[in-house]
Amino acid sequence: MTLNSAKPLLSVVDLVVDFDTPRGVVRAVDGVSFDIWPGEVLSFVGESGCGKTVTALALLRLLPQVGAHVRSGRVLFDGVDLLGLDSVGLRAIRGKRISMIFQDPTSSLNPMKTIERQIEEAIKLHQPALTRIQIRDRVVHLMVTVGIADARERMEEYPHMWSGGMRQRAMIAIAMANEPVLLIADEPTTGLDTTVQAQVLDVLREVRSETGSAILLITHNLGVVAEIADRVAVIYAGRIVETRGVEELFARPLHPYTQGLMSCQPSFETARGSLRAIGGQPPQLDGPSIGCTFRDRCALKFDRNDCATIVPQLSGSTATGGQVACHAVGGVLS
Amino acid sequence: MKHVPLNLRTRSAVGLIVFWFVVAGFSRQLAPYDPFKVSGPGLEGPSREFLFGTDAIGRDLLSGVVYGARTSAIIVVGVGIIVAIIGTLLGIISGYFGGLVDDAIMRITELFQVIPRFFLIIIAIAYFGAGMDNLILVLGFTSWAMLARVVRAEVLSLRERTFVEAALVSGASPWRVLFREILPNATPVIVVYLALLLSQVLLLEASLSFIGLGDPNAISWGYLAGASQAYLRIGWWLAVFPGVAILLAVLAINIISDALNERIKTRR
Repeated sequence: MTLNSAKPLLSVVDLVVDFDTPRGVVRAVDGVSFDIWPGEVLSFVGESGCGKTVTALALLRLLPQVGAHVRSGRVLFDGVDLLGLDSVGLRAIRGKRISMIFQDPTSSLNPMKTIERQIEEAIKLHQPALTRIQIRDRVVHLMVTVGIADARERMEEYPHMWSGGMRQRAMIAIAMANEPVLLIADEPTTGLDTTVQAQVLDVLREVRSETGSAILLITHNLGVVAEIADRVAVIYAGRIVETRGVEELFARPLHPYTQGLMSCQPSFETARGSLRAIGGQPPQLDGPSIGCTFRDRCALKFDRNDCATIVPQLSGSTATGGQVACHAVGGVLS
Repeated sequence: MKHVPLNLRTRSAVGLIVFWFVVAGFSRQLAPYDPFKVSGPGLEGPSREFLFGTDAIGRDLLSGVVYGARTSAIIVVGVGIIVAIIGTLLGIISGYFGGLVDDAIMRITELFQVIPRFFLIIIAIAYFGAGMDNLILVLGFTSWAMLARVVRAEVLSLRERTFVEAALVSGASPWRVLFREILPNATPVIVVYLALLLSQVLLLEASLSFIGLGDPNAISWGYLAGASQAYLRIGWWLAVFPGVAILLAVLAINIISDALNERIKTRR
């Protein structure tokens, strides 16, 4: 691999995405910046509607053409600005260097084509010079890598004949067809049962160790994060509120929102009945944000004027480069 | 794909269609007489010599029905191809690209929908002249509107599906997505609608021939049925045999479209 690992693979700076809605403009992503380094697993965590998926879709320019606007920001992928790329350049990157798997493996496979053809097409799109035999070998190899037993017999079947976990394996095989350096996995285990979830995570880990690709994992499941991520970015209301190494974050969550998320998670150590929901609702994002968007739900009740007036920025730096955007705890770090 | 055995109904329908097209292909060899020539006494009921009887001036009806199979097959296939191409193309372009393109195509479609089709056809044939080629063109160019709308509606829903997004993510171009991802999924709708339409076309052709606007140089089932009206009380066979031929053809097309739809649907 020709990548320089002293430089991030993907660097997103100050990304802002707006959506037109009947009630006005909604700012779904509000100044998100992050880096992904070669080979690392970065996880986006946050509740539904916080902008995790929109950020990922914006990177690949997959947002709907009508109604969605990338207001500002830069997305540098291995030195190329993805936001300024023409459609030909974009197609050369999509599926070849960055690929993506989606939440629902049932609807992300084309029901009218055999699994074999779908994997095959993914290969052919970017490696048109391969012979039929080479492609077939590659398909079988991919299917074996993602743990599909008796690949040769089953590849001629249609998606409806496969179980959810098998379909997600097929999706991963398609995503890995051209050995991308970055795989975006949007809630890859949501909707699968627990044993299958664990298997799919195993497959992701397997694939990563074989190809060395970086993974951007989007999830709301902290268990999945603990299982596979290297670094975590906690997203709330369109902003990254905390970014930390995974062990550090689980050992000592700093942002009150992260702490809230953690205490929503059942474990054997917590006493029965001590599961606490975060009170209140995420804010409506249709106005300009004044102050901290989390202040109404904040458990710290840090009574400072700043919380109501100044939007907290990611700041401070823990030993491993973690940052947090909070007036109350930010100061503690620096 | 493992093949599910066809049920009896579908097999009979396929058999009928195959029989129809074989008869159409070899009508000259299969017809016992020349259907344009007088071969026996007029208005003779079905007999061993004339299985379907003869018409008022003694032409053999069986030969007429056999020649009619050819005419009807050519018309159905011709119109089917024209409608499938125009309707599908306009429908998917309209549905996938949306915006101004969609508006323009849909307004044109509506134009074709609001004009009463039968009268449009009558006027067009009166203007261009009766003949098989004109008949196919006119029927084809006046029948695609509904298919375009149906396909557009299907594409509108299909383009939001995740596998379309997944195809874009893997680097496919919009045209590729349109023809390789969306179109295959729209085929059940196209097939079913086309089959419905083709049975309509068969009947439409029959109606046109019935009122004398068919090809004067070709015998069609509709023409035979139309010509029988003066003799309904004395020569039942003149109406019954061409009528049964139309009925069986329409029935077979409908059954096959059902079966196709059923088979493709299970993959979803």
